[in-house]
Amino acid sequence: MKVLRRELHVGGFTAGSMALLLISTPVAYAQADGRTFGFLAWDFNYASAEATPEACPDGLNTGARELYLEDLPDAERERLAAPENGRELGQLVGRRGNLNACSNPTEFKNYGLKTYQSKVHHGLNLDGMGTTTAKTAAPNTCGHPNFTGFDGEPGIDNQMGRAVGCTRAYMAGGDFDNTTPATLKDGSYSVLIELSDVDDKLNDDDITVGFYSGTGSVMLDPAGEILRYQSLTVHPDQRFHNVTKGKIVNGVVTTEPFDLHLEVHQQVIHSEHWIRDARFKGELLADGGLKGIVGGYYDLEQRWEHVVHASVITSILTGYNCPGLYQTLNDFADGFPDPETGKCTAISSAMRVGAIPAFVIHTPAETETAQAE
Amino acid sequence: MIAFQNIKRISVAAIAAITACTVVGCAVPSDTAKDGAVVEVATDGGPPTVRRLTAEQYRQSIADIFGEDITVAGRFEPDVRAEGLIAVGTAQVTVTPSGFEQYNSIGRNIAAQTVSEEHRDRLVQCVPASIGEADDVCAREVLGRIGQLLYRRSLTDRELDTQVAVARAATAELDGFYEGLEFALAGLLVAPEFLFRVETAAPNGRELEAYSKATRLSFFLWNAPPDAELLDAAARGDLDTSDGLTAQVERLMTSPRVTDGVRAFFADMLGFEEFDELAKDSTIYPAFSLKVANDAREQALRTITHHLIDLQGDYRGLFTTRQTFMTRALGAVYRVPVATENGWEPYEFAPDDPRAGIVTQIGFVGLHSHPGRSSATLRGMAVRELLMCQKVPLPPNDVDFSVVQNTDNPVYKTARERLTAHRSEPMCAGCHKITDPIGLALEKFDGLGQFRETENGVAIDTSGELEGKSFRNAVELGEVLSGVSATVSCVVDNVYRYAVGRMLAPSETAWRTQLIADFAENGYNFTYMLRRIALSPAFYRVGEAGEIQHTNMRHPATELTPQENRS
Repeated sequence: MKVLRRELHVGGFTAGSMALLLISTPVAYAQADGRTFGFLAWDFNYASAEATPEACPDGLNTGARELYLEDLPDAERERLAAPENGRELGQLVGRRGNLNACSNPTEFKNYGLKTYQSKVHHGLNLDGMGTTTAKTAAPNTCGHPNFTGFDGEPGIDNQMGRAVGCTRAYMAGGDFDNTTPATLKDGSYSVLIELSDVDDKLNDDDITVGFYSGTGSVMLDPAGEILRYQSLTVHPDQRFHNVTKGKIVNGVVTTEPFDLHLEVHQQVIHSEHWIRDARFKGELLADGGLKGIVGGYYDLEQRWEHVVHASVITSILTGYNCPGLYQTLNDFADGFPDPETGKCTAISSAMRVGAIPAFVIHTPAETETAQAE
Repeated sequence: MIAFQNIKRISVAAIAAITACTVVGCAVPSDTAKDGAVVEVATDGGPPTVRRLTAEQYRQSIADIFGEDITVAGRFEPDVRAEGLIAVGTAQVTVTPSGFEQYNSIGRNIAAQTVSEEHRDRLVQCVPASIGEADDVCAREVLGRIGQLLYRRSLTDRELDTQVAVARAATAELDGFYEGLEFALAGLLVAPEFLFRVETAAPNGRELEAYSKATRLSFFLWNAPPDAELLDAAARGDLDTSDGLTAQVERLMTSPRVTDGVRAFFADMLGFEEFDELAKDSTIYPAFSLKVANDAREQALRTITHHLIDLQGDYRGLFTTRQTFMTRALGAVYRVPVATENGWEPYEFAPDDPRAGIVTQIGFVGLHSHPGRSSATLRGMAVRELLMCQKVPLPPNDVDFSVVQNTDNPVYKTARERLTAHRSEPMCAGCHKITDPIGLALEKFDGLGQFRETENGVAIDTSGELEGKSFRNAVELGEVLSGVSATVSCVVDNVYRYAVGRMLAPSETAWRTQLIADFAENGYNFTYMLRRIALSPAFYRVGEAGEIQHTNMRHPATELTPQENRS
């Protein structure tokens, strides 16, 4: 590709190249350097599973408002439950003085959390082992039970899914399944993925895979869907550039572990994903897109920042109580034990990735920095 | 890249020719007498024209005269295309009552802004003795100064006296000097002398008088009214002398505003007003949007002006150039990366890319398509009519289009197959053999202009033949078009007709031939042609109406090669 503008490192996935990949039709329409393929995520969310009766035999978790009311004497409960007293109730649930139950979860009553009981969930086998105990846990992990994947793969590590799978916020079709695509669509933030150094799109044992936060507005089509083949520039902050090596086997992309930092802006949440020892497994789709899972150990403090930003109101609206969630996440944490306490500080997680073909634009400044490094 | 280097070489030659041309008086036709004097084929010219300002020209006039910050709020009567050009159509239209109401509303609004406190100091300039009373001296100064720019000539004493009297009477009626002045200005803004470019002949009856020359020249090169300097030159009689005219033409040609003029010409020639009504089925082409439409139009014009003005490229190179400009909205349609988040950036298609030339851009293949499918026929017709000035007859009223329109036809899966079946109708064959070979070369661009290799799973065949020259794809079609004489004569005809606002007169046939030859001798340099025309006596010549050629369009069947006639 000859470009008259300043030198840029550009990658993108074209319909032509995808057709080449999938139906082996000769395509004359090459783009970029033919070895780099870009994607824009329309979904980068907790890999939710159906909250079936088997998975959640005791039903879904109750919201903080209902839990608070249950503890009240009948008369008071009846009074505060009245619609005209909703404002007063809102000031009471999860709040005490300057404290609130999400910022200070250990200062409030812990109602516990109903957890996901099914043996099947999404995710990756992060530790290369099945269910482990404290004694049998792999290095740098804590003992934990495993799932079997929906595709039958054993050894799936997804303690996050186990902890939150029975809440309205995190279950399949729940709040995050709606707000994540919506906020990725409305330009709140963006996630870019790039496969480069690809010599063979079906089988290549040495490729480079990058996950980047993006900047700029996402273009939508008239139906409100994210426009394919658009260009988006990577975030200027190197912190959100996550590059690792990987390979393609029979069209399935897998990566080596890497530390993943991605910006997140979802309504009141302005934070980041920090997934340690992350790795990606996904497939190239016939429509030029990419679909897969990012598995890894979500840092608990980082995760809790989301909950703090979401605050009590979200726990009311989406059905959980912060003390219970906090306790459960800590109990289920299975990665990166604290050297002093031995208590794990991160929790195995699975993020569902859905992406359309797009061009990932690297700025000259970024390229220069990368070269210097 | 090879093509780009060729363009550069041609460009150097063209610039050298222009420089030489400038040195000897900037009018170097192919026939030069032994003493070096310019010999130009004599013409009798055509009648002076009365042309209604286009909407764009109206807006530009207001911006030039009153400033960019004066809002022109309202819709204009639609421009009319005649004989292939709006520029010709402007000489064939009038103002309807409803159109006048629009002009009146827009004019009153402009007048109000002009005298407003925000703009008064800059636009009125003088201060009345009393804001509640008439001040003829101040009113005369304002109305004379602005009136000259609006009328594109000095107001006669009688005209100015009348306008001052109008302002005086209105001041008394409306109890304010500025209110009265506003009323008079609003009158100037709906005067026929402003809304129409009224050309008049000089006393010798053989050429335009000086102000008419200035107006014709300015709208030709800048698509804008003459500025104060050009009007002054006209008033001094400079435009009636070779040196004076040369100086003004050089000034206009070396101004960045000549780009506006070139853009206006090509927007007219290529029928870009159709972008205003361009619509696509969003379920089929989700990448289409109003921004894409606007950017596609702008892309074509940027490609053209970059090639013709910035690079001083060969006109024929427009059919083969791989250089263009991109926005992110367009990038999503072309499926190319665009670094610039907001705005434009240069882009060059790779040597093996299936796109080269303006005919392969969205601004052409997307514009000449149906809302939900491509159209080899529309595209072929557009090439024939817009780029080769060849008239394609309209289809008979009782044609059955069902086979062509059904893109889901299980038997005829590609446009070529459908059109072949359609051509089995004898009444259809005649026209389709004119349009389809060209249009089918562009079939790898869908109805929006996105590239595709197949239609309904069947590989698309883009091969064809034009004027005895075969091509395999759209890029090669561009190469053939760049070598076809009709594309050259068409642009020359169009530029001249655009410049004079009418079809060519019979006496201008030899001049046209000379102009085409000069264009060729000077590397098909477009700005050379503009200069050539602007400095030619023919451009300013007027005569009897005579038998104005009603069309320069030729039926392509008369030009088809035997091979094409057989197809």
